[in-house]
Amino acid sequence: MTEKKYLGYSVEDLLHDQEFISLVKNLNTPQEWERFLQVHIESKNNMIQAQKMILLFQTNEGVLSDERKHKLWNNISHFNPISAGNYKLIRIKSFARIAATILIIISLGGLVYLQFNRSENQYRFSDSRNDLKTDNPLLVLSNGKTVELKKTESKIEVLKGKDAIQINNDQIVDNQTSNDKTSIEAKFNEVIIPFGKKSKLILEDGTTVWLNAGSRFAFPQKFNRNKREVLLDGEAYFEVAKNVQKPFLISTGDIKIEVLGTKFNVSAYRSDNQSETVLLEGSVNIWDNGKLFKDKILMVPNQKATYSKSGKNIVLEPEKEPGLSIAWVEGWYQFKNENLEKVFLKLEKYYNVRFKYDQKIISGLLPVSGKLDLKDSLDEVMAVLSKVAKFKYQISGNSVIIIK
Amino acid sequence: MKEDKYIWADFKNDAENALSYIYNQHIDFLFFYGKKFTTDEDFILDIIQDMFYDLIKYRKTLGETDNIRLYLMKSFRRKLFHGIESKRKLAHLDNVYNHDPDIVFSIEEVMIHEEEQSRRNKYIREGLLALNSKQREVIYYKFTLGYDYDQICEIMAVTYDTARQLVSRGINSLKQFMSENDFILMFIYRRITNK
Repeated sequence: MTEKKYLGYSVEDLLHDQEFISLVKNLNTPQEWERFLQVHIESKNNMIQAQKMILLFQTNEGVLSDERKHKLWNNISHFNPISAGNYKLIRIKSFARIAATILIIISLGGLVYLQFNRSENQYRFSDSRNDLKTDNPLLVLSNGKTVELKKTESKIEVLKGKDAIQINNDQIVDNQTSNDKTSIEAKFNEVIIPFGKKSKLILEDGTTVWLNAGSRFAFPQKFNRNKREVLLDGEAYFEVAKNVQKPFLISTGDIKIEVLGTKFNVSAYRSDNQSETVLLEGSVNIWDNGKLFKDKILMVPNQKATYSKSGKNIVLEPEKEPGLSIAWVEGWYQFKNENLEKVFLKLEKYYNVRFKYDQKIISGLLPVSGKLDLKDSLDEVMAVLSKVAKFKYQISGNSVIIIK
Repeated sequence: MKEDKYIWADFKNDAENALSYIYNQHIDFLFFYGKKFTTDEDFILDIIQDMFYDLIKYRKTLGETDNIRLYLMKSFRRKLFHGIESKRKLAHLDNVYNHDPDIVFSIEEVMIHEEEQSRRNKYIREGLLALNSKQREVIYYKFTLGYDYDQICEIMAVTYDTARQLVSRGINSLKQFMSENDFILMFIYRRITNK
């Protein structure tokens, strides 16, 4: 290709040109595109116009569900051309429908059986959060030991191949499971972060997880052979180490997220009526945990997936500022045009308080934008917030009362 | 695609794994290709099954190809259009099949899901709605799949001039809202190039 190939091309000429279209589709980074434009500086404007139009029609397709794929393959691979005449084929097809219905019921039964007997994770969070009387983060090991972490921001690191876990760079706890070597299933350790605290965790595979206040997270000392499985109730930011052979699988109460290697934030508190996943890099599959047939939804960067508990569905939408969702990792809480109720919900978790307010007062107030330093005291944060959002408040003990 | 040529020959000669290889390579694509034309997923699967039955039945006499996907698309599209036509005749009350098979672009689905139907969104939708079904289809092959005119002519069974004209008309129809929608286009551009 000569470098001056596109000289004098109109937008339309470019859009007819196969080579140009392939080029636009296959450029991976905006930098590559910039470089290409520099080489063809005379046609730059037309090229930008043409590129925009091409990009308008790009798609992210998913995959057909495994169940349907297998069922169809079953039919096709068992098709016998000799017994199927031309005319008969049509009739057989309508019978095939009935046969398929029966097949579905049988295979459904099989699936349920599989679900119960080879359940992907047998581990469940116990419902006894209330009996945790500690103000400090707790590490509950799979061998039953409990370690209290005394810092506001603790760091936990799984030591690879050592059956031990290191805490805050200075303490190493043994995590040898007592002579139970027959079990192949990964055993889970659990971290419990109370409100007002957070923690950084490094898993066996190098994946880093930042856990936000009021979260629980379960992880094994060593992942099993074909999957990396963890459980989350709360909010966490993940930087998953890449390993295509071994997908990383996160279960929350409602959704599952499958990852090959990527950065994203999940907020899935059991107490909240919706959960949000924001993808910053890479790609993930996400699906409803309650559904028998996994309808996987593929997320691409700068998207937010919201699961609503009432609607029981996942909605994908663009996220213009994905960075906001992980500001908490750095100790900030940043929000843009957020309604106050949502802001209060977050602050409740960071400061371990309850907000009390009259719904009518709150819905009358405008959405707010801002950036709060979570190292500040609740008093300081509330002083700023009330000024911005124009309300009056009173703090008494564990409650914040909004008066207006 | 030299490899395709040998895989296809293998399939014609009854080689054991050729069929399952072809199936696995193209099934996702064919399904979503079908979804561009109709929302009836069972119907799409029926058509795919029917097409594979035919391939098996006539495997010895099938022509040669060095592009299996294109071959399957052509055959699938023919069957799909035929199937939609007979459905329409059978049940003219069923409004799913009331109109011509029509491509729905992802961008349109995204916009439908977006809560806020901004004014800009409306422009872009109008621009897309102004495309007729043939223009939509040809634009899908050209811009979404990046096919060249030879391939498009083969799939749609039209001449080069017709295909080119369809693209031109589509472009002109879309151009009208380009300037008004730079903002939304830029945002889509960011989303797509950020992968």
